[in-house]
Amino acid sequence: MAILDLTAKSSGLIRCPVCALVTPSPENHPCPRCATPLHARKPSSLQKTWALTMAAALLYIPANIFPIMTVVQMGQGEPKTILAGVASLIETGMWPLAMIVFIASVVVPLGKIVILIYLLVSVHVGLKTYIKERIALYRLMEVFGHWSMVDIFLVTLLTTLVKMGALATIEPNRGVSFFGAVVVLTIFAARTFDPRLIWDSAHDHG
Amino acid sequence: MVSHGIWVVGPERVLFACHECDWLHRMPPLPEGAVARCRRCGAVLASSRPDHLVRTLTLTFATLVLFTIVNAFPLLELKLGGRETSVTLLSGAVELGHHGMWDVVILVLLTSLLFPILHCVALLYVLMPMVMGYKPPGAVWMFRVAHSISPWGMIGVYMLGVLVAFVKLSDMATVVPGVAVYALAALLFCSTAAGNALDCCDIWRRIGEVDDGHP
Ligand SMILES: [Zn+2]
Ligand SMILES: [Zn+2]
Ligand SMILES: [Zn+2]
Repeated sequence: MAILDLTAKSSGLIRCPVCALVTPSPENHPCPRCATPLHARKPSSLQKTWALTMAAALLYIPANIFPIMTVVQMGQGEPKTILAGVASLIETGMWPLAMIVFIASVVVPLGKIVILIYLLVSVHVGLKTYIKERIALYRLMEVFGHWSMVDIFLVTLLTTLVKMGALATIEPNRGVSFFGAVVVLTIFAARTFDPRLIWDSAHDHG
Repeated sequence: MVSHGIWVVGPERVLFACHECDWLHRMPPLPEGAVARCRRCGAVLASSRPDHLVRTLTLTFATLVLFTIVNAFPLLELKLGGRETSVTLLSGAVELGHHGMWDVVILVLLTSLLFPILHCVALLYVLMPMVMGYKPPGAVWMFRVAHSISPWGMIGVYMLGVLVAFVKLSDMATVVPGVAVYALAALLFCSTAAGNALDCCDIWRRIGEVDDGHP
């Protein structure tokens, strides 16, 4: 494949984010093929990503402080947080499940927040090294980003199923809402971040 | 220089920019089964997918049919002390509404049900007439809808949630996987295969081609 020695932006061209058409369009004009407003880079990508990432980080605190569900068996049981839920899975010997829930509910959202902050800072300071590594982190985030939804789906399934009166019940708690907000915010944050800025900032600053 | 909505730079070569790093490439027509990667960052730019229209159409139609089966039967059934409960895709989604958590209800409904179904419908709306050789009205808008909601469909994650619930509950009661679990597994397979078969660049090319109003 023949390559040109430059980017679309430096050639005065814009790639449509929806239909991939490359046109010499002015900023914020509709794509001639699919009418999507065109921008050389996602507009205010850094500011938006910062805001969404910080909001996600902030809400991650109540998501972990508040319990997400209450399992009552034979009249016994108390509201449990995400981490307490993982701990009780380990106690009952369900190691693989504990791992899945821990990775989906703790490692993925926290990892996304840390990766986003690192990528944002690296673009701000114009880091010139670790480009491939940073792109790899960005791709990792794209691939595994959704998996934090597992806990939300799990709570809805368990609370619908376990309604056995005095024998056993599972009730959802407020933490689910906060955790849901964290998941949605991290997905939006990852989508507003423009990976092309990693390359731009590595080349622009001298 | 612009013909059929594609920025042509030479005989049969199309100008392509990497979605991850913006590097420009002149893309020749790809041989069958070939994958074009970005020279600078390695991202997949395009791949040639022969028969992709018919294949995607069939798999998307199968996905939609499986959705009706998934919705008609329980995913899991629980038996404990003579009592029985069950959960379906829809009953599970609305359950948290009884506890006032409508924000979570909306999130679950959208990601496990509405977005995946809307994605299938939008694809069928564009692909079915296209296979028969004409462009439906509003094809551009519908394909944009399909494009923007596809990252919000989370059937794969939902399937993992069902498996985790199954194993977790086996500890305290008798859990029976319902018909919908098998249908959901098949649905996951079909929708993934449909996503892999879809050549969105070719579809945009066709949509642009029929659209004579544009330059
Ligand atoms: Zn476009
Ligand atoms: Zn690239
Ligand atoms: Zn494409």
